[in-house]
Amino acid sequence: MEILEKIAHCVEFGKINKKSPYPPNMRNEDGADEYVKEALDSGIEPNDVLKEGLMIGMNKIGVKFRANTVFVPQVLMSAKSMSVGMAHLRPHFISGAVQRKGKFIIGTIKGDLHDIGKNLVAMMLEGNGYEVIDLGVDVGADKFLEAQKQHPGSLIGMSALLTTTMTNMAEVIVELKKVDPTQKVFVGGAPLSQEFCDKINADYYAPDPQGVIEYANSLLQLAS
Amino acid sequence: MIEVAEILDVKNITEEIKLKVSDLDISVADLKEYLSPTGEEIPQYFIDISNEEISKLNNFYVSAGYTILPATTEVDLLKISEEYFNVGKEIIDQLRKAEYVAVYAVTVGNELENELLKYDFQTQMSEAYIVDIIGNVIVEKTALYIQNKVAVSEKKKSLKTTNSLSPGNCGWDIIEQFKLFNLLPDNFLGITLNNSGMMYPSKSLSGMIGIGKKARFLHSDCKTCSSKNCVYRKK
Ligand code: B1M
Repeated sequence: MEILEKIAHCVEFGKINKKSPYPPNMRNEDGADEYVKEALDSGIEPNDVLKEGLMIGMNKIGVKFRANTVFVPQVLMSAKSMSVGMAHLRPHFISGAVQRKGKFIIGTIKGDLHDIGKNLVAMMLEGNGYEVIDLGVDVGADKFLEAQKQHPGSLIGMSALLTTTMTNMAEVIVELKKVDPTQKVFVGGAPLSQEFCDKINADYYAPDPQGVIEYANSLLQLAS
Repeated sequence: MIEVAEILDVKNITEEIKLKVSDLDISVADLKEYLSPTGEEIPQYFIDISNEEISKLNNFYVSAGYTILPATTEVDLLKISEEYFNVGKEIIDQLRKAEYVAVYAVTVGNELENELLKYDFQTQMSEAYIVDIIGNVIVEKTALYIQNKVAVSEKKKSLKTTNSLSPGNCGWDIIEQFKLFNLLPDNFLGITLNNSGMMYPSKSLSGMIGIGKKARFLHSDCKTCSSKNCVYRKK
């Protein structure tokens, strides 16, 4: 296996570093930590380490999570491996040699305090190269507008778990699009549907984090 | 046997309880629904973090309390202390035979809520996730504790209890949370409500338990629920 493939493999299976006993079948093997360092030391471009290694692994775990073949703990192990690898890339982010894909503003809609789903989406976005601005829970139009102003050009996502407050999304979308008619807004959460998304004039409904990533990536491709 | 009418004057009582988290006897098994919904093996790493965090959280306290009030049903509405509740068909059917309701709330309180937020989700995801779900289990088990306590004490008076019924469930609009809290003493357990009726601290739960000679405990069952389009309906 080539080193970038090894990095992707470690992220996909949540192998953080040599010390980590998880997953059991990779015990005593090097993990994302060691391989990323080795790859950078051997002169591989930091951008390739990110895009051809770390992000490939994160994408694979996202696909498995969507298919229900892995659950949150496995995803968290992958995200941890990803972030350990990313730590080696930090100086290259600062120097500008590696760039994030873009910014993604996310929050649980006003009236709702359920946040596990929103946190998972945020984590997967981070792992896929986005800078995430997490506004927390119970977020109304004012906070979304403020963030939109502070981070122009960002994608925006809203999560809702309550049937009674998911309707608050409609008002926020109207306000965001008033400021910027091209603003892309993603919506998700257990009670939502494509039909509801269409009704409130959101741009994209994703039933799972992977859907958010795929659509966000497709927008980037269109833009480039 | 004591008649319901005879004990009417001893109702309208409020009890507030502080429980140590360790009394809830939380173990990794309680987290299974969140960690491994289909029963696959949980990575040892998660079991270790869970055990470590449970033992730290065991030293904290949670607050719970309830008020028992006379209740009647009028057509499809529940009437308690001049307040009418539109609890939806399933819930009203369960409460038709109740003569009283125990209106309750439970919360982790501000101190424990802050402790549950000590990890940053972006940098310490596993720890943050585990602590978050332990918080859910803490409030769920505290609500269960209240349910059992009410059931045991009412049984001594030959009264039966229903299961716990909460605003937001089975067609009962969360906005009625305001009316529910009107039945409880001011600033009950320090819980505050936002505009949509959600409680702060966020790890809180509220509900009612029906009490009566003929009250029946029915396990919540999606099959008997008429909300056919409910997104949470178990197929
Ligand atoms: C931007 O793009 C996107 C794209 C995809 C997106 C996305 C955004 N956001 C999410 N996704 C998607 O990706 C994620 C990963 O796959 C998924 O996210 P989910 O969030 O769907 O999934 C998570 C990974 C796991 N799922 C969850 O975390 C939610 C689980 C359930 C059981 C749940 C929990 C855990 C809790 N709760 Co609450 N709770 C329920 C939930 C029932 C259920 N089975 O869903 C629900 C949502 N709760 C409900 C209620 C009513 C309440 N809860 C309450 C309390 C709680 C807990 C504190 C115990 C806990 C809070 C957890 C937290 N920190 O968020 C109460 C309110 C609390 C308060 N502070 O006021 C209370 C109001 C009950 C009461 N009266 O006390 C119900 C809402 C019903 C309705 N009418 O809408 C409920 C459906 C339970 C039920 N009836 O069975 C996808 O939806």
